[in-house]
Amino acid sequence: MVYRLKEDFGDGLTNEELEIAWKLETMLVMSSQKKTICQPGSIYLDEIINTKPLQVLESSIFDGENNNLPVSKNLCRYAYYNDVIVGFICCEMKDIYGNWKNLYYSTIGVLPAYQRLGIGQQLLSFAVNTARSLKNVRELTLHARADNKPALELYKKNGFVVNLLIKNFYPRCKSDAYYLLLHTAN
Amino acid sequence: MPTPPGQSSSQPLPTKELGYFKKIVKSYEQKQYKTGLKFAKQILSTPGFTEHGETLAMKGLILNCMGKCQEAQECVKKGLKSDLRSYVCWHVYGLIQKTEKKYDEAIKAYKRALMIEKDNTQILRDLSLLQIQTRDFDGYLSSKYELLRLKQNQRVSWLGYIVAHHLLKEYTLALGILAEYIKNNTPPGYDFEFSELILYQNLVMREAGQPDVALQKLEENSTHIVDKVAYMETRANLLMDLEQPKQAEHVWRSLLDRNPECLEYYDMLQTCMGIKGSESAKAQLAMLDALAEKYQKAAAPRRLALYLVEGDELRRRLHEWMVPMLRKGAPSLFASLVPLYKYPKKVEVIESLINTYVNRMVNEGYDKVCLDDQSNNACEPPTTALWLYVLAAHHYDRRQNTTLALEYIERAIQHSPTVVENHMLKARIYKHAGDYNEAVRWMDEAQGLDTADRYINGKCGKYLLRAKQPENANKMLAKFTREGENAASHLTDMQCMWYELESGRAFRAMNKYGEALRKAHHIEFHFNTWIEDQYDFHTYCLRKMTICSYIRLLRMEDRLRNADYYYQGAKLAIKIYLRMVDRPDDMNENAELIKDGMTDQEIKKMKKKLKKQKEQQEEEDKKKKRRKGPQINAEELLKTEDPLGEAAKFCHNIHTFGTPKVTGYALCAEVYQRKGKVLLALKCLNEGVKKDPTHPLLHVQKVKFLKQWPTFELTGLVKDTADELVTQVYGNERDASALNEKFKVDHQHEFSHRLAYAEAENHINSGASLTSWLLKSAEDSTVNGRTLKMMIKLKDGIAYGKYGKWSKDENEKLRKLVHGLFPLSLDFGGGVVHKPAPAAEATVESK
Repeated sequence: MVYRLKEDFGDGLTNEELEIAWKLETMLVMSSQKKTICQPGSIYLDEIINTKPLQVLESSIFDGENNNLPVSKNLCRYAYYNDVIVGFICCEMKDIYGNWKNLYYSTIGVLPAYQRLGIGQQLLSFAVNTARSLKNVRELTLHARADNKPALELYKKNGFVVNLLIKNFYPRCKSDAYYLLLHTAN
Repeated sequence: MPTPPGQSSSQPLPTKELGYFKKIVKSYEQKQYKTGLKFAKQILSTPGFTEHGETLAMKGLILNCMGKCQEAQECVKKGLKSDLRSYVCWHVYGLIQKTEKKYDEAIKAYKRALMIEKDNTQILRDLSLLQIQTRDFDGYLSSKYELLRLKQNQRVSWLGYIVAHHLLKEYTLALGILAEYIKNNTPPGYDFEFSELILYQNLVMREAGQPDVALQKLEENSTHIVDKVAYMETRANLLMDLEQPKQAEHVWRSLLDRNPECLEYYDMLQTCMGIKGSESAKAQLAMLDALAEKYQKAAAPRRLALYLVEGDELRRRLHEWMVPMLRKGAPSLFASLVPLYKYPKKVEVIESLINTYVNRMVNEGYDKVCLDDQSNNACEPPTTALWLYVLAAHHYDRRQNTTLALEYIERAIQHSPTVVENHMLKARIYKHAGDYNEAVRWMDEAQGLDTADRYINGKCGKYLLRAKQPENANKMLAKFTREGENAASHLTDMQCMWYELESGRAFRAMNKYGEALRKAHHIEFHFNTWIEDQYDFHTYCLRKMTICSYIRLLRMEDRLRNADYYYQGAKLAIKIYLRMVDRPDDMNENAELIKDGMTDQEIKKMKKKLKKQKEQQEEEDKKKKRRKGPQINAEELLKTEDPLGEAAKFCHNIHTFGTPKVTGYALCAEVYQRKGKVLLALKCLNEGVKKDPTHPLLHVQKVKFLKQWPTFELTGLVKDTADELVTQVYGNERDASALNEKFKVDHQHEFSHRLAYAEAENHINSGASLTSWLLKSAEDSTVNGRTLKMMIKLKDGIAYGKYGKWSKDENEKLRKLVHGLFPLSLDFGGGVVHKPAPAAEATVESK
């Protein structure tokens, strides 16, 4: 992994950054304690038709942030828990070269009260499956905050690898980001 | 041998023309109206037949079907004039009168036609339909008899004849013919229609007071009855009538097996077991518990048990009831608790339980807590906290604690900001607190979260109407009405009465009394439509053999105007008509705009502007002109010469159907008393006293009437009846003042009763100054029922002049006083103040 980083971006990375990347690579995926829930609720995903709840979710989860995400019927989903909209995922297509595209997933979010219930995993699976089902898509990519450990764990568990570290990617919260990648072409 | 049409004695047609005539009839039957008119023209242009009566009649009939009513009328009348001895002309004349809803005229015309052509079944059928529609049961019977005589092989003839006897309460005849018919027509196997007939026979037997025979027949035919639930319910009821409660209990229990959620079955079971009434609560509880044990998933026995217990037992049962519903997010949870709010002790239990849950949520963390006290590591799903906060908000809203209600709903919104119900409840809390604008804001937010839901769309429309924004309401509601059409007229076409009631009230609140009246008349119009709608069922039900339902329909239509919507609409109309009499100046909606101190020129300018606005409006209305629906003009309604007479029309429909509302009788009494209809007024007062002798609104009317009583000059039978009724209503009291003073003392702790006393006192003695007493009442914490609703009634009453003269200072004093009690009420200068951007919810976030 480290080698690949060095090969691709060799001169662009400091040792410190590589160190972090390596740590991420070797980090053991902690077996997250799953809670036992009495009368567990149903989780399902559905298309985003009305964007108002999306705006509400965004500003609630990301603390007033509102990005006016592009919503496409096939690439975005709401997550419902017990029929309450509690999370979402938004992906978009990006060109790489030639006919190849990658599916870039720009935002995923689950309301704090509903985290650690496997909803994020379901949303992520949706993105992975979508990327796999699209013929000319080769990879699924995303940016993740470098200090968001639970998120990184989730991506790791799903087979993502670190491609790049970008300094101060999120200026608002003064945070670095990893550019993660999952090969989906068969 | 019946005469064929076109061959009437006075104007017989030659062969060629007769051919044309037959073609007209055929085209009419096949709805090829244009062809029909063409043939009619052929005959009418032949010399000698330009005035051929039957052709003119047929032409008129076709024109009528094409919607050219005026032309049709003229044509038919002309036809009738030129051939008075033709049954066709009379029949068609009757048909046209029927479409004009002149039923009496139509019946007369049919009868004339039958005099000429005695055995015409088509005319007999048309006649019988009108007779049942107008409830002329004797006429109906004779028509049905003729039809049966002519068409003995038709089932419908027999059924019509039987039903006619039944409706005339000639049970023996009805049952005799029914038995004969059933004997000759028993089908070999499964037959739904026969099953319905058996059930109908049973209905007649029960109404004839023969439960023993009914039960016997029911058992004999049990294999034929396919509606098993109806069979069992009938059987259980019959067993109860025959005083065999043990057997009946058994049947009710097997019905519960089929549907353990039917509340009626539980009620009947209690009756059979002899444990009805509050003194047998223990036995009822035991019964419900046993059934709850048996039907693990049934909600009904568990919910009914809640209403029977108190204290710790209530707490235990509420805990078991509420926790699964909180987890599930059942919207009906609060609704199921509402009956308990009548009892302050029970409310305390609910409140303490809610607070316990909330505290545990806070102390243990909502993702770790388990409300079940189970020791395994299970914890609540995150939605439990959400619905708990919602429940708490509902609870405090009900208790009129706006601050706490808002605090809890805010917590729920923070927990799950996408939930529509959260914002709806927030809107509702603001509505109850009197800030309709803020309520609209949040209802709109809720609407935005689920734009595909018509329920929330309707709610939002309703809230906009409450906030006096009828135009915005129409815009909102238009999202679900037909495109390209005005929402209001579409909703009227759809007979959407909540809308008409709410917009009528909104217009009233905006002093647009004409528009408000129009909406009330729309409601009246819908009820008329429903009465007419039953016309189609007279043939349909007999043909389909659903006679039990048909009989129910007839009886329901007879009492249709007893519905609450009718009452509410009528109340709206009556009050406006009374206002026309009391305060005619209010009817000019622009009166408010002309203020003191405006110069003549300014007034002139404004009037010009208003006129222009009106013309524009009229032009727009013209563009939007439609053909269907009620054509009621708001301004015409305001111009009525006889507002009391108009009001009395509504009153008639309220009290003759025996409204369950005491306020209905009070309202009617007021109208009749003003019209000088002493007996009717007394009758209404008397009915009102029977319902609720101490109701404040009824008391006001009692006092008003008693004051006027000595001025009525009555003689003879009327006087005797009136005297008797007065004694029934008033006992020995004949002095209005004394009656009022006694009322004051008896109900001094009720605010609404105090208002009634003041209104009555002001009526007796217009000089009486009750201002300071009323102000003190509004302030006095020992007086119950000082709700926002009553305060608004007081305010409106002052403006109306019900409570004497109030100075500007006194009004301001009241405003300040009520503002202190209900700081969010817009009516008293309160409400949420929005800082200019960013949109901050000042009152909410300060907590």
